[in-house]
Amino acid sequence: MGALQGGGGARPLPRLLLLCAACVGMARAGNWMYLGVVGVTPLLPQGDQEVQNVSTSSAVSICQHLPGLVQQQVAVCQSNPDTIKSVSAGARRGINECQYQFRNERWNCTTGVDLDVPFGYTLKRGSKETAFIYAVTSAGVVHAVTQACSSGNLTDCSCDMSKQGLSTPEGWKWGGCSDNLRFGIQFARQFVDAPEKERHKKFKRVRNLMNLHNNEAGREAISRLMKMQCRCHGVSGSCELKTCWRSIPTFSAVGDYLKDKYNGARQYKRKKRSRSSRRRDRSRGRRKRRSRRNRRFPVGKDELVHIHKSPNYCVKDPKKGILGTYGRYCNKTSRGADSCDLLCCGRGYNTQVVRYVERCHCKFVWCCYVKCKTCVTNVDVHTCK
Amino acid sequence: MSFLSPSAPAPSSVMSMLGTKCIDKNYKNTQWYWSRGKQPCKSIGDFDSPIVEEQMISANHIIFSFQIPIPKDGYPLDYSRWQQNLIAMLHLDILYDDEDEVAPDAVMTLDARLGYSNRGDPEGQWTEYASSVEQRHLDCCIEQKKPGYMYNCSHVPLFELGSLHHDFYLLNVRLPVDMLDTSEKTGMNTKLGHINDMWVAFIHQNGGFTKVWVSLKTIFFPIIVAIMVWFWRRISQLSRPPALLEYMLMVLGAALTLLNCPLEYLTLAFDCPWMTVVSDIRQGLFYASLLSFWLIFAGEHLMDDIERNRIRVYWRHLSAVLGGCLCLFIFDMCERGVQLRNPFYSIWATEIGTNLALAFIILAGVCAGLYFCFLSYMIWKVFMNISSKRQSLPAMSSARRLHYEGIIYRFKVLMLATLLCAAMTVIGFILGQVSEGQWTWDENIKLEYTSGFFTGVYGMWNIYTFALICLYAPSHKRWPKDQNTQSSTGEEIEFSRLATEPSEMSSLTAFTKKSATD
Repeated sequence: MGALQGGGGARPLPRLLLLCAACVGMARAGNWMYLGVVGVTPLLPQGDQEVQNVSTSSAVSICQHLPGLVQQQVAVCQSNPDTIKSVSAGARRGINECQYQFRNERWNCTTGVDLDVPFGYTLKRGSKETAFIYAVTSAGVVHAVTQACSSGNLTDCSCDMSKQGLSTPEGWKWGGCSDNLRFGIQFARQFVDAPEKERHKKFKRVRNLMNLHNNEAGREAISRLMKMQCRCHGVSGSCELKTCWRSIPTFSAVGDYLKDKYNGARQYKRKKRSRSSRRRDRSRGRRKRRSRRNRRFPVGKDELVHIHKSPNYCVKDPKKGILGTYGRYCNKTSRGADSCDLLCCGRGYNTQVVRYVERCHCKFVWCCYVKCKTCVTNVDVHTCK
Repeated sequence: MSFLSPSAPAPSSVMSMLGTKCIDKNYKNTQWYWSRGKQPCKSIGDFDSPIVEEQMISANHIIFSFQIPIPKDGYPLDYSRWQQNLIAMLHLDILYDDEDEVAPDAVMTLDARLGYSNRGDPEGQWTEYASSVEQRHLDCCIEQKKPGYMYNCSHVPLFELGSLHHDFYLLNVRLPVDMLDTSEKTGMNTKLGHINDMWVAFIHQNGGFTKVWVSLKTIFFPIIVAIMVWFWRRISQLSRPPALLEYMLMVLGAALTLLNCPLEYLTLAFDCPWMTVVSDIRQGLFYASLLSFWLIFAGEHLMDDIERNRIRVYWRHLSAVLGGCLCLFIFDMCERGVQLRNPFYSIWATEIGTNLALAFIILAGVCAGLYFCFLSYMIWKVFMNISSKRQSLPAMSSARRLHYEGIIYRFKVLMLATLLCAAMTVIGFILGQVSEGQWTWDENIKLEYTSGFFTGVYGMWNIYTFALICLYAPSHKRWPKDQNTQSSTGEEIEFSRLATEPSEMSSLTAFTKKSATD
């Protein structure tokens, strides 16, 4: 948290510094994902409805108000303050998708009780679930930022004509702008990866590399799922001239893709190396050392990687942040992960008859007109013991 | 300075935009709804917003607003007139709902308005450019029928502007519903499912590409004009009337000059929505004259004893060219011609229009097929004649032999050059389609292939035409008198049919002639 104070120290804002001193205790370990749970709005100074029109000074204050960000994240936030709303929306999108994807599993992607530190211990664990959370939230940020750029809400998105060598605002008249995904990914790389990079610099641990890899895998997922559309507009509309562009996938598709990657996640095992091989390494000198840094662990950019095995999520273990499956609804007829046998870990289940009053036979007209009948059904609800 | 940049950017780029959902309980079709700047419209993030229920918002109160171009790097961009044209493609994000599936043949009715504004105008002052109520087919499918998943809908064409004259544009789109009709399944826009978002991809030509393109034209225009003047002066110096082939060369040159004429400069000063139609016509005229030229060139080199040299002889062949071009012209006028009046019009939107357009295109295809049959037959005949003439060549007198050798030689040169150019065009075209089809994403510097192809092909056909006019101009050199005395008068007459002896080849013929007399 020294990082935060350092950022504040650069500018003479004593009042803000005081405020931030209060929030130092609140945020821990550079976990920005709480933005998705808490949101930005409650943290903003009052009367700041129009975040679009923030002046620089209030932009600085917004970024200073957000606890739990490392120095680089504050810097990124300050250079484009409007994006922070998208970061929050993106994290929320990621968390919601995670909870949807894991709604039937023993671990159901719960964020835990402490809103400021979502996922709590799960993030520290280094298991498949950790990998998924990192990937899906990183993907969420890319998705939200890209979409905000496309809607014109975010005016800071870069035009990025680096390949033309024209960086002036007028440059777009020469060669147009790159698509917004590029900015989304660049932004996420700067913002989401910042805490891990900082920690990696300090501790050089495989854990941080794992997080960085999974963040990248989340971004890669969106990039790979982009759909291409083309339009012919040559002479008389012929395909002599064809222009293609990519459109961003829906986030549920990204969730499906990442869930698939979760199922096939690769575990990184540190190889125990003998003394002789270590000596051999040393004699080979620098070149070898560099290759060691690259890690001989062949894994695709889009694969999820974890280093530890998942714990048993059946039994409640508050110390490790495991809620257990007690009280979860299960499906008696299913044979999948949500079946009562699997979800309740063999402890059995209670059955209750619940009377549902539901809307049914709805007639819907976009956007907002719904006319439904009410149906009453009696449903057996099973909950795990 | 950017004018001098050696690499032209891609011909066009895309700005894909997500519509802002403006709401207005008292919607008026004279009012504009914009999302940025002073007094933006009241908008909602999504349709689950509590405002929708509180204020009883219905589809008729929702306006999707697109204010282009989108600002970048915190700087409000504006369109430049160098960017020439604007094409909009609309796309709907529709959520799946098992109780309310999108009908496979759903038709959506769009109430669209396009307005513009310029730098220096007071903020919020939008002038109407076009407005229309249009129908479009919605072609949606879904793989996983799960609630919360999106349909995969195809993009539908929304509008096409032939000129990008103004700085800013504002598009307001509504999908009004017939609330009285909701009981039946036939009501307007009642079968569209859960629309979540509306996207519009705006395609515009790149200013850099236009600059490179126009400068190419500016360079080629005077060159071709000069060579045509030179060519015509040569012809008028002859004692005989111009041959058909020479007329054809002039036509080809004229068509290319028309194509080269850098009319695009006009768009920088005036609003020229007709520019796309005109450039289509110009290009069509060039193609037509090039195709006709090939036909007549092959016909004039047949070397049988039929007197041609009149355009009427080729009416059957030329009618294929004319028919094809006419079909495409009518189709073009039906699509882009009507778009001059209503940019939102699309011939593909209605059943009849689609059939009509397809009919014209198929007819044009048939004409193209016919043309290629004619041309291949003619070329085949020329080659047959060449091989038969080859056998009898040694038996001929030297002047007659030289005459035929000259014909064979120049036919082969043109054949080779044409095939080379055509092959390069086709290969380039295929490569372009392939390279455009797969996205080369990521750090690597992407070679701007498409613009290279375009400028390359354009330059190549210009040089081709230039070379034709140059090489097939009549020679101002006379046959040396002493050698000419050897040829009999009977053989002299035969020259008249193809009296054009290419100047470049004259040295070659002279050489062969010399060796023959020695």
